[in-house]
Amino acid sequence: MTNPSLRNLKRISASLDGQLSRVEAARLASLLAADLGLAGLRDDLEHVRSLLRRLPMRRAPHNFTLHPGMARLRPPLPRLAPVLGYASALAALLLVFTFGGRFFIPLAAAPAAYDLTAAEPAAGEAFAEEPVQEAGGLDNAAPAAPQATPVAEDASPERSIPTATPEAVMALQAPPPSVGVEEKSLEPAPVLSPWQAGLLSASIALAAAAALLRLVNILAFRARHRRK
Amino acid sequence: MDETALIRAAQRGDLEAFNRLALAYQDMLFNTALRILGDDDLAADATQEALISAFRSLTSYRGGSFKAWLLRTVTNACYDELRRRGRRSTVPLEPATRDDDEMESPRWLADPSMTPEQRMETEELEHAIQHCLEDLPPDFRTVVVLADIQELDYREIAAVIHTPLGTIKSRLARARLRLRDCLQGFGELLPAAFRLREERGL
Repeated sequence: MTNPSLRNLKRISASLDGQLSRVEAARLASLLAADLGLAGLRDDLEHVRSLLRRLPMRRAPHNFTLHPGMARLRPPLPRLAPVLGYASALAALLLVFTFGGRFFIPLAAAPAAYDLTAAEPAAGEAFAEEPVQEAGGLDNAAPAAPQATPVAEDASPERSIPTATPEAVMALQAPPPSVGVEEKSLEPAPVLSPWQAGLLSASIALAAAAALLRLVNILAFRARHRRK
Repeated sequence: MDETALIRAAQRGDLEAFNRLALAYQDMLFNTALRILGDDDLAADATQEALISAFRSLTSYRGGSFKAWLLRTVTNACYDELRRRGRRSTVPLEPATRDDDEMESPRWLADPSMTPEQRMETEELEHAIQHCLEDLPPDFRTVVVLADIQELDYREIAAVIHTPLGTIKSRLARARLRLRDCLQGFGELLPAAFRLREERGL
């Protein structure tokens, strides 16, 4: 038995499936009429095709349905996913600025600190020029004065202040510049400046919003599937 | 609920809707895998993997023949298995007893509606065809299974295996020719009704 050309083989095979145009089908019919070998081949292929189609369809050995564990269901990303992604990135950036900024602020703030120390004597003079007015003010607040002493002791225990004289109270209640020169070298930099606190708050708010939305999304997804 | 509605529900994560689709198509998927792989257990594994994969990637289904889309997942699973098998020792075609002897008349082919003679003839035919399918290269085997066992048209086959129509026609023609040659080798082992022209004395 000789094998036909691939072209004729393809034509015969396609004719079995009704994939030939009328023209091609007519051409093939004339070919088959002239070549008994090709006609026999056509019968063979048709028989093979029918055998394959007569194969019994086997039933599946068991049901292939899925359960959630097999499907490993994951809640879909919320619609705000891209926004939340940006929010998280922004929150991270703000955190970096908030705490990383502390390394840069002292350098930037150093001249200001020196300015404050330079202005300190002038401030002292200003206090000295108006003792009566200040003292009077303290006298008016006399009941509070005794309480000021322990507070002052707590604030700077190394200083011994026997009595809460108006001058002493004024010195203790005076703004930090009077204490700044001595304590600046001992104490660390201030905890957070207002703008740092603002950035920190913003970053925490953004991160919390992102986490909250994700949590709500997951809970809603679980509740939906539990109902089912 | 119609198929489109079930698909949409499944795309939204409704596992129950997907399972109804799975039940409708599981026999077809299993038979396709069985003819490509030639082994019940492997075919069952491939079918299960295909359905899991189908559910996870259901959002990528953009319409068209869902049957063809599912068949693509199962043929991909079969190709994966064939690649794995290529790296391992071959799996016997026939089911075996505990003593590793081939079953003479395996229960896995039994169909209670057939007479014993019909059952035997069907088993012999199935054995011969499966043996000949196994001899085909996987690409040819897939095309002939989709065309002649699942009865898909050429365009559906092209969609399933992402292959041009011309290649489908060529592979199918050559696969049928090889099957003819192989089945002729079985000669009189095939029941008379199933023999090819030469064995029937034509």
